[in-house]
Amino acid sequence: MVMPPVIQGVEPPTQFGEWLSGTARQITRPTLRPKKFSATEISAFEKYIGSVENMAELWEWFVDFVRRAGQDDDTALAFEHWTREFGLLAAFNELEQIGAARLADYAADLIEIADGWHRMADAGLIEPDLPPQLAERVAHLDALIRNLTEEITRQYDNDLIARLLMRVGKQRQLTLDEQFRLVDAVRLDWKVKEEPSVRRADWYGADGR
Amino acid sequence: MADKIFVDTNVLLPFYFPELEFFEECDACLRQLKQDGVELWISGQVIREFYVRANHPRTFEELTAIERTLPLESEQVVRIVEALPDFFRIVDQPHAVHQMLPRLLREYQIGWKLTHDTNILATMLVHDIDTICSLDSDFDRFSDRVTILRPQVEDARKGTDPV
Repeated sequence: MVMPPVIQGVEPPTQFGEWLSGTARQITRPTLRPKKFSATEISAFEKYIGSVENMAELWEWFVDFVRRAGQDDDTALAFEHWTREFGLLAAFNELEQIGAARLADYAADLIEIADGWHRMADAGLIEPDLPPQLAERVAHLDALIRNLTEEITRQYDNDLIARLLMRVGKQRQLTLDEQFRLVDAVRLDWKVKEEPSVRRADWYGADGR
Repeated sequence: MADKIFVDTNVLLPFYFPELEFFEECDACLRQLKQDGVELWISGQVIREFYVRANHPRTFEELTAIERTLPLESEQVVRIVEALPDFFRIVDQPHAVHQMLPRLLREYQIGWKLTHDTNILATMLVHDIDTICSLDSDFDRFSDRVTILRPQVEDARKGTDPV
């Protein structure tokens, strides 16, 4: 287990998430000037994220961080600073080595990150365009997903496609083909227990069928 | 062909659940309408009914009778509801619909359970939609006001019992 890097003036926590939560608290809204990290700190951090055995933990924390960043100004600023200062997204290459099965989760998380970014941009907290590295990763993942379709379950596949298309749909109107693809992706081939009546009047009766 | 059509809940449901009866008919119908450039409209009432129908514990094998929590399976139905605006246009229910409803109930001498169909009619009229895609023959009584487009099904399958 590689310990989190030591930040000058901050007691080293036992958990990486705790460390960056503390970092987020240091960046306060009134100043609007994110804390500058030293070269030593950056080096320590890069060493930490270079540890493959901690990638899963780091990833889970990172996704949680982005989720919170969409709702919390301080965390959003910390996130913005983090991505700029550390070039964190380079670590995604390591994550892909985890394997195709994990990739589905990874891709879904990446979509959430992009969503989080757009939410923060809508709130005027950050630049509207995705950072080039993140945009490249999203595009790369999109290609990977297509190639790995046969290796992941159909449910994962459909879920990812649905999330991708719904995200696109928030930015522009989907093409007709995309609309049909989205319908196919969210359809549920559940086994029918009892065919519901086609009459609305039957649905509001005592039995509700 | 109308340039916009209201899609009833009984068409929406099989459209998203391929194992249901009428899936093929509803799928072919809505796809063709879309490809013809027809705007497909639904309302909040249809969305609520869709969700309730899809989650009814007697409809699908996958569902259990859990009312107060959101089971994992129901989360998948929520996903469909989230995706609806990317395929359908959704009308709101302005005050004009509430004003229209009692007029229609009086005009057609309707009471009890057909009130819900009449609310669909009121919504359509307020939004200048004159065609509904539905499997429910109860709408026949409104044929002087709207055109009923039925996905191709056998007559025997239609609901015809009077209320």
